[in-house]
Amino acid sequence: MRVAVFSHGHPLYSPGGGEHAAYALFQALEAQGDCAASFWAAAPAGLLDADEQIRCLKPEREFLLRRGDDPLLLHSAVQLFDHSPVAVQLRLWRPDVIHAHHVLGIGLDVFWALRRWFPDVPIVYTLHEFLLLCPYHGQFLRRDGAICDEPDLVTCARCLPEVLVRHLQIRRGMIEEWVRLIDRFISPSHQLAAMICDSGLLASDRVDVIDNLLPASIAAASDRGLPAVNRFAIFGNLSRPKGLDLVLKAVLLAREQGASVHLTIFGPVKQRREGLSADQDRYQDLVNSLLSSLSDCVTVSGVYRQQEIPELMASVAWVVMGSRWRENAPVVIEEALACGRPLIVPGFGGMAEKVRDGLDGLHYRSGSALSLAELLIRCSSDTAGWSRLSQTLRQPTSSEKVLEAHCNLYAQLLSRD
Amino acid sequence: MAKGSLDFVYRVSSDSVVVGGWCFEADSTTPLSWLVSGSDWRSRVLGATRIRRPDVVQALDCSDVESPDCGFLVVLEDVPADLDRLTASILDLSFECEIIDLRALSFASAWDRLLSLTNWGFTPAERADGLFKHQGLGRAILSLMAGADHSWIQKQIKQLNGSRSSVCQDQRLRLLLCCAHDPELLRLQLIGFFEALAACASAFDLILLPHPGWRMLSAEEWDRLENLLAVTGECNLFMLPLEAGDQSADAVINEQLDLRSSDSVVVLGSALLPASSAALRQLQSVLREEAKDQDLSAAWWQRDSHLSLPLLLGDGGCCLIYSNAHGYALQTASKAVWSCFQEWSCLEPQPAPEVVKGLQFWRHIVRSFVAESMMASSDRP
Repeated sequence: MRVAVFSHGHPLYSPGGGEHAAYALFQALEAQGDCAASFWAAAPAGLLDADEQIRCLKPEREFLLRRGDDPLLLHSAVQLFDHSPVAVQLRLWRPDVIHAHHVLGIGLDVFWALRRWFPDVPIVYTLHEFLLLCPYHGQFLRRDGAICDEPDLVTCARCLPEVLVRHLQIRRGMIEEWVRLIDRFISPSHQLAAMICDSGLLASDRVDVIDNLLPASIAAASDRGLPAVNRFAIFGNLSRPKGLDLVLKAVLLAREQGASVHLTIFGPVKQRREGLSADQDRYQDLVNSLLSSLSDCVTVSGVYRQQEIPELMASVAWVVMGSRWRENAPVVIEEALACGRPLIVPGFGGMAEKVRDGLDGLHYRSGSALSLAELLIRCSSDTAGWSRLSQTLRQPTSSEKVLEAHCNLYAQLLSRD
Repeated sequence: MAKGSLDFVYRVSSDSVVVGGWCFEADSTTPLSWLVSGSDWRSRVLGATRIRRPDVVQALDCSDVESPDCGFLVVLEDVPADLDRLTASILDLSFECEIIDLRALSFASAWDRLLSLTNWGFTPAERADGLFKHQGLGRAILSLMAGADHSWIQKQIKQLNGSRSSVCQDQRLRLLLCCAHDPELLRLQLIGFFEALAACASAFDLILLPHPGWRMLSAEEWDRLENLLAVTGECNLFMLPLEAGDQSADAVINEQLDLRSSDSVVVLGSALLPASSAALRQLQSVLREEAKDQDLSAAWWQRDSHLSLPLLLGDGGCCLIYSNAHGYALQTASKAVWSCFQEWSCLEPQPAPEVVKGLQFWRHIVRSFVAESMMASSDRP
């Protein structure tokens, strides 16, 4: 079986959870004896030359495609002609299955071309975030920071006043047409699957819930014992919706209460200063101000690579999340569980689904720095509690099982009449 | 003494100019007078729809006493073609300002220049209607459009056709798509169309009737459209000349396609098919009964149960005809979902005063105005 995996980015250039999940799938498929895989990722902005449609990173295996930068209307930038460079390269590769992660960067239009170029090849799509339903960053998080419960034209127009209402309608229309092209959807969480089906966009029998795949190196990480129990860490892309400021405020509150708490930030905090919007600038100022007043108990470790995760996780006792939005199936949760680290997460959305309160970690009231501070204070001296949790942590679904679920789905689609 | 200025005077036709400026202490009935020749002065009122100019208030340091809605935009007629400077007055203020001829610019640059007079970054979007319909901005853009050189897009259409086979072979299903003026709506039209047609076993001719508003497409938008057309695949694509879109679709159906009731023709329409269409009346005799009374007014992208073709109603809404082997059906959406200036109508629960929108919105308003005007002219008896 030959599987072409499409992704919104290559982790080499854009090390986000979705990119890692797509790449891990590609690697796992490739490692299977009876399977060939290739990886087709949207190139980072500005990397390809003006007239360059596709660039080969590794012959017959990894390719970068011209990126379409239109998160609202999701235009594709690659040429859709029958003899376009992308079409030629794909035909040479001869996929049996096309599996796409995300439409950002890749765009919607290319899927009509894929269907035309390969009419009999099943197209599988893994849902990430809520981008198909929420045009405002796909996070069901309103512009004022409140959680969005019922996205509709009116609420979407409030979040995006600069966008034409008709374009919001057209976006919805395009997506409704597009979902008809996809043979099967995969959701890494039950929450996302339920929301997307409840919205009426997809029938429930078109969505399978399958976990994201972790790279073998992380899936095989062993528990390296407990470092000091007061060491906490936050991982990942630290944009405003990820709530780094909320976690820092909680650390500040905990310190004011006399607790000995140490937080390490693993993620590109300082790199985000370039090219920021005014809102992001204000947010960055807030984060920097908190960081400067917490220099004695917060360490900014900066960018990391996914293969370093086991080592980094081993240096802390707890993994904290501050997300203000529901999340889908954060890869960092599976990474923490694989490394034997309990999590402290807001008790809602995909985080509540993936982290069982009192078993895999602890929940706090979402958006509440005070609630998080109370947990930080308690956990910073509760070695026994940490040990209890470390005994009940669930193991992430094994890479073999996740891969098997994917392959079974491919086989099922290939055996259709 | 009043304070004010004429910032720009743009010529848009041989006898009309658009004037943009500001003036405190002037109400809607204050006249702007201009010298036509010798001692021949004409005047017109500044009008009720004003433009927000916080830059003026700030520059003059009078934010406490003056309203930022001091800007104005008016169209002056009867301005002789040989005049290169405009002499004008408002209240006790006199001005003399160079007339810049926008006709020397490309159409895209010219209408963007006119839009800049609205100070769109500050002027509330709901004033667009007044500026376009009452202050004359829409008329000015139509004048510019009438005289502009659109040869580049004609050339693109010709090239596109050059790479395809010829149109309308006998015994083939012919599909005429009356294209929307908005490139984004057009994208949805095409996508919905192709997906539905992918199920068609037989080859067909796809005939695109460009919207007259395509003259406003940018090169980038054309590239996108051309790219998207690539997925038509095996169908025999033909694009009618842009001028065909200036006729009513009615005329195109009758004259260019020589439609007969026995033909297998699908017309996916929007905007260009007026309810009074003779071609539609001709087809009504073969309508299927069950299709006659459907209310499609709120169903612009709903799928139709008869052919699984999406309804593709566009601005101003109007008619959709389709056919299959058994006969024609005609459906009319008299209440358009999207009338050009009804951006707010779908947001009724949310009053939308004082919303400032970006250039994209204002460009859309221009396109919609042009489309609406074209439709109104094609609907005239």
